Amino acid sequence: MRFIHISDVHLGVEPDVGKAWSEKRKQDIWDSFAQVIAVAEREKPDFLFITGDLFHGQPLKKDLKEVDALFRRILQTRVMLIVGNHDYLRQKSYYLTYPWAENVYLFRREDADCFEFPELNMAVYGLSYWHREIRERKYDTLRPKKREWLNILLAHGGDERHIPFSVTQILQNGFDYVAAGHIHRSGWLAENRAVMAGSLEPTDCNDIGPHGYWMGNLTKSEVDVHFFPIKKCEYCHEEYAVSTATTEREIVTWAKKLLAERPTYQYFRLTLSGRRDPEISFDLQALAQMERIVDVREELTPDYDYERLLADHPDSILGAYIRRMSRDGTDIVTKKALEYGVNALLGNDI
Amino acid sequence: MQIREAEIFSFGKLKEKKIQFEPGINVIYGANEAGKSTVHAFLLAMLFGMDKGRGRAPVTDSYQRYEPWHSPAYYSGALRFEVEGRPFFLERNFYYREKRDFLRNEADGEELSIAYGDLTMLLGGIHKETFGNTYDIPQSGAVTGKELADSLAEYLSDAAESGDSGFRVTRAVEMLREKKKKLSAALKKVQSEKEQRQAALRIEQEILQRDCLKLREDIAEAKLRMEDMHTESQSAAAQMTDRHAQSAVAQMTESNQINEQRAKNRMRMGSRMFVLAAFLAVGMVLILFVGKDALHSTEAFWFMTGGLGLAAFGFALLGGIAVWHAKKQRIPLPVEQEAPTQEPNHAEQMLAILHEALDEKETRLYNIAEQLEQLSIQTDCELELQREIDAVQLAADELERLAKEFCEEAGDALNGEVSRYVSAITGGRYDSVRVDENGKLWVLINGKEVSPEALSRGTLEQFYLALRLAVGETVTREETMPIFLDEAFAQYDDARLEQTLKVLSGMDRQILIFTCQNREAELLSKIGISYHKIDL
Repeated sequence: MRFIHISDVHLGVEPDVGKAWSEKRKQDIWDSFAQVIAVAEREKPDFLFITGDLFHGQPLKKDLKEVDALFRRILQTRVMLIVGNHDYLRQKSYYLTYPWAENVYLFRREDADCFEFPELNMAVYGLSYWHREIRERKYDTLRPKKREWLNILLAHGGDERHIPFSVTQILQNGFDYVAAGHIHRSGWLAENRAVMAGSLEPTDCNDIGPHGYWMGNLTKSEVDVHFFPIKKCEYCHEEYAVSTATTEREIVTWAKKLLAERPTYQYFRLTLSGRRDPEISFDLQALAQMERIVDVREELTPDYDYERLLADHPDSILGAYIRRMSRDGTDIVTKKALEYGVNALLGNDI
Repeated sequence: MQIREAEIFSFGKLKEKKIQFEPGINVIYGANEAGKSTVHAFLLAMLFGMDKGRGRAPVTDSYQRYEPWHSPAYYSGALRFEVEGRPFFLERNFYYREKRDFLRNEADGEELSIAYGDLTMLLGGIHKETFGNTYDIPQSGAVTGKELADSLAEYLSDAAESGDSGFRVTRAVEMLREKKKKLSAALKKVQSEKEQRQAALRIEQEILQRDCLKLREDIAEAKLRMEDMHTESQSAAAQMTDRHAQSAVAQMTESNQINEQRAKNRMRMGSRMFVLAAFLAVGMVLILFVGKDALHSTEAFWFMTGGLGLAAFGFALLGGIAVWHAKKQRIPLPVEQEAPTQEPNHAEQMLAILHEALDEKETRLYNIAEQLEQLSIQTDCELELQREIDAVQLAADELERLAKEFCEEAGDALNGEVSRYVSAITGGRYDSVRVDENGKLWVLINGKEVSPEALSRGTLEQFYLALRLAVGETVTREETMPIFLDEAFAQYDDARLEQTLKVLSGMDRQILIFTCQNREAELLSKIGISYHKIDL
């Protein structure tokens, strides 16, 4: 049985709102979905698994019409569709009333259903979200009816608030393959047995790494499934190690080099980390305005030796301040306040 | 610090004058107009510098006051002094056009820079104003009122700073407040961007809500009409008022008609194909039976039969497809075809369209509500900014609190010191004095706090002398500075003066008493305190 597996397409999402490329990214997401359909048109797999969050919100009728039109181009492929926590089903969802193409198999209930394909000796299990959150472990208790068949589970979730599940348990229960969605980062949950498809396209800057679709061949005994990246956008988190000798110019040069060297589909979150010269602060405005830079974060601590400062000024207000602020535990605000206060007392830029 | 020698080249009325000073008490005696105040001013000018003020009256501007009358360009002097046993030589030319200064360590010949603060460092970081408010005790008495009050308030608020290497708490807190303002502005910007998006969504929401309301009314009306129609069997469609629905229905009917036409065409084409196929099939059969003998070669025979057969099959197939298409296209419209003009169906369709429009708008409303909810949650960016703001606020609060604590501590220490001096000078008559936050003194008499202004003029001055000595001791902690007393004891009786001189001699500092009387010298001799007398 040959299939393509995609998930978390989030049609309709607008990533990086406020950035120049936001609109393009919105369109990219539709384009990538169409691209997968084109692959299916060419490869003619038996199945297209869509494991939830096809839409970012409740789809309008015109959205479904677009999607359905694409499905009609691959009538030879059965489209197995579960609905996730983002576009979850409601009584009025068009998902339920839409006259889908005959190759579309929609899981309509929040309890697991199963579509059987006796001609292929296989069954596909799944359920759709009717709520934004489901904390019940609905997948762990599910058992396939015909153990001798090829049994596939389409799952959406995997965190605390969205059907937490144990892959080991599901596989033990008799499923041969789990095609999962919801977590945007893709990878095997269990080598050749369970895959988290990841989002087809990254939807925000936290979705780092490659994104794309999974395609392969599956039998009861053999698995040959691979990841195929879609290179429209990839977010990368890059870190610059700052030392007390670092200058602003160095940082800008580094960023420019990075942008020049890396492929143009990569977008960056830059993080400056390390210990900076307490008397120098960086102006990162220019950096944040650069093309393909999503944001710039500063995780710098001024290079103070608090022990030493304390030893040098034991009776002064500086010493007293360091003592008080380090005594109050290590919560982040206090820690930052310690830095700010010492900086200000020493007359450095804050 | 010990002043060893003052060499006046030209300063005010004095010219080419050398004065030697000794450690301990120096009594600089001179009749009126002998130049005591000039020497006093010269020492201050040497230590702290002197600039030509602009547009000030000569009386208040030292530069003009002591400008040499005949040779203003020759306005200079030198000073020899010791700091921690090291001898220094300081020379200054005050003339504003040729301002020059020169500082040298006389032991190793090293030249130092006044501009870079070397002299200030030797003086323990004390500034002219602070010195003026403490150890430079002037003719008109020790009471300085507002000025000392200000410098005391500053001293108290910067109490933690004075002793150590100068941490400026007030400035630090100011910096933190400034930073908080900046961060708050940044947060506000982020929030207002969000608010703009929220506002846009709310407008859309409102419009959609209004549309939904209207649609519901239309639906109710349509239903009512349908019921009427059922009972009265009247035409409902004609009465429908909703233009929207009507045009949609019209469109739909139109496209149905087109489809229908297309289906009919296909059907017709299909039948033609079938006829053609039939002809061809007949031809094939004829050849099969008759043409076998008529034709000469078997190849040609098989070729023709096969070709005709294939063609017949092909046309039959095409015909089949056309008919199938035509039938398929008719599927969604069985009702329309059977009774295209029947009114109730028309109305039902309209109702369905209205329902659909409503559903669509409600879905959009739903998404907007979700987006609004999403926007109401603080973003990472906001949280981070808020954290920074909290941290800056915490830092400022804690610093202020600590400063206050230090201030109170310093205040307590200061009260103790002032009380000690007051007790010593007044022979134990008063022993509990408090300085309030405005630098005003209060004395405890019979369990009651009394303002020293209520006491005699002399006592008042003694109280403030005690305050100056106590504060001075703190602000000159880095370097023990000399104490200048310029006719400070005019209001003192002999007993108090005696006590005061004892206190001063016990302070382990160089004391310079400028006086026009013999009283101080006599009293010092009387009580057996050694002193160095300088006659001007």
